[in-house]
Amino acid sequence: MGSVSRNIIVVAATAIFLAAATAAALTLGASSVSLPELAAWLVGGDVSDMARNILENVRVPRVLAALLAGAALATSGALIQACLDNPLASPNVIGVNSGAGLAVLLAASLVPGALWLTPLAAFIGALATALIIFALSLGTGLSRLTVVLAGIAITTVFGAGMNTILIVDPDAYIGSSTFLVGGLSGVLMRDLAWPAAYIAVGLVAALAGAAKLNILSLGDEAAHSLGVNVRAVRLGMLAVAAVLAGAAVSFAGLIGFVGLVVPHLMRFFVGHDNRWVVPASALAGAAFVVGCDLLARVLFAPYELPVGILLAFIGGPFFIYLILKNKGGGLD
Amino acid sequence: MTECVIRGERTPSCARPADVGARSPECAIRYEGVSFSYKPGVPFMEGLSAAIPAGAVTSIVGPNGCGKSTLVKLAAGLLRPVAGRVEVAGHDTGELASRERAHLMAVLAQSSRVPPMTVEALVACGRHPHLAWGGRLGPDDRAAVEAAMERAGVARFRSHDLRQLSGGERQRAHVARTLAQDTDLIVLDEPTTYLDISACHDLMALVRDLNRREGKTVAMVIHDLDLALRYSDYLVVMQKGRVVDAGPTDEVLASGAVGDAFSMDICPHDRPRFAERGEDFEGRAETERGYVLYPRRR
Repeated sequence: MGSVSRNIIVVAATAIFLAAATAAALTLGASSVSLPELAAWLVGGDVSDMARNILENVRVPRVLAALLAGAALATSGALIQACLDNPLASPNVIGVNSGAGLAVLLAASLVPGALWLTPLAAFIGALATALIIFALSLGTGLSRLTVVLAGIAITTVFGAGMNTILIVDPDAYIGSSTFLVGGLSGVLMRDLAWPAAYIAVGLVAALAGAAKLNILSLGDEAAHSLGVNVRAVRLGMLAVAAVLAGAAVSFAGLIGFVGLVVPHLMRFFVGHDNRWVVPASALAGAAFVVGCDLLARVLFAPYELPVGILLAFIGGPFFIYLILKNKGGGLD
Repeated sequence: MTECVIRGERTPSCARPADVGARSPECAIRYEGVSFSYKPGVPFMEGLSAAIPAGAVTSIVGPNGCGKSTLVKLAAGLLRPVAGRVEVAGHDTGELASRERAHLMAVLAQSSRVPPMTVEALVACGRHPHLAWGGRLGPDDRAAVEAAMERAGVARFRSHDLRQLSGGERQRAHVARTLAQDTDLIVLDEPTTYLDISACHDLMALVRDLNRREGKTVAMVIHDLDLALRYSDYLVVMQKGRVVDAGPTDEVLASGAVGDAFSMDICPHDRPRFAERGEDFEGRAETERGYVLYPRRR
């Protein structure tokens, strides 16, 4: 089987898995909605008031939030790993999520109630952090592991900043404890409008730039000799990664490890061609977060875990696995 | 067989004025009064002039840190001279957009990195300067990729991951990538660094053949003096950021500049070339020459 045929099958299978996870997430929960009711609601048929209420006010916003956050964070991770040529990099590991989170809390504290400002602030915070990491990795010739350590330091500082804001202005952000670990409970449709626009633009830009990222994998000099403006592509794609991560953080909080785990998983199936890694990661990231959020809701019912906690249980060990896998070479 | 130690007088001048001054298409790369420094106030090259002739194989040789790779990077537009001018095919390379430059010269940079892709995907990267933004290959691009793989002898590895190949096979795949770029000028920066001796000669034979059959101009930075002397039409000898001699290989060797640059005595060694069945010499000499090098006593 050719690699293109195999990749089409992988992407199709991921899309089917995403559809199944979405249907499960819309129907399962504390109050179940049957599949026929879901189908009837989708085509505008007769549905009980309770089912309609649950779907429209609770499940759909939450599942849509999971879809958007998963697709955005996984794609952001794929872009960051390619731009920094670092398998350990992802939006949460290098501090991009924390930068976005700090900016979101700062904006919420200084300009309360400005829904349009939240994703913009998140983008600016994410971009500023990405640029700091980019400057560190290029300007000082830091090893991959040192870039990750710098990310941890940045995350610590920004975490302290977020805690300071929440102590000084406790009402700045409702549900701040969920925000800090990453969660989707209480997300409303109106919270998603602006971030969804950012994410749509980001995904299109990521797909458009994927071919250039393949050339970057040859090394800077080779890419330059092939007519690629290496610095512009790197900065441009990091900005796209910041748009995606920032938009996701603006409504989902500091969800971690999606951007680390999912691109690696998809490279295992579709290889390293970013024209496949990017769309496959977007689909798989969406499916992964939708599925994990469903598990987080039903595992300890009637109690509900923020999905960020479940993702940390999965992502932490995976991060250690990557460190061990790369210890023989590649980290320094 | 010739057994003699050549130890001529050092030629202190830069490239010959006749070569440097030539403003004709015969100059593939021309450096004119180029000054460059890596650190402000610490000049690395001052007023360097040299020429890489078109339609020939030219090796740039010299001890470590003498500026060989800097010359390549100046031509490739990766470094900008603080003074002087670097021309590629008659165009000031600093004024070319990187995509325009990629239509004029293909560079195989020195790198220990092995990109995670198949041979075919790597060679297809060579078509990048010819593609629109989406990066989709058209029928002409696919034909060029196919021809480049065949020409470099890597078509049978097309679906192999580069990490599964030997150093020699991998380097041929990289050469195929430069061929797919479809430029008249190919620049190789230390192409034999990670190769065993047999793979080195295979690669150099390919380079020679590309020049002979397709008229490609090849400029290469190379550490192995024996390879440089055997396979090059012209030599540029560098030392401490200066060109100490440049010209046809035999003349530069006779001048002693190569030996002086490395503190080596260089002994040519001729042997009859035996034609294989069906092979003709195609204008090549009926003897082939190798070189034995002896360190000079300090």
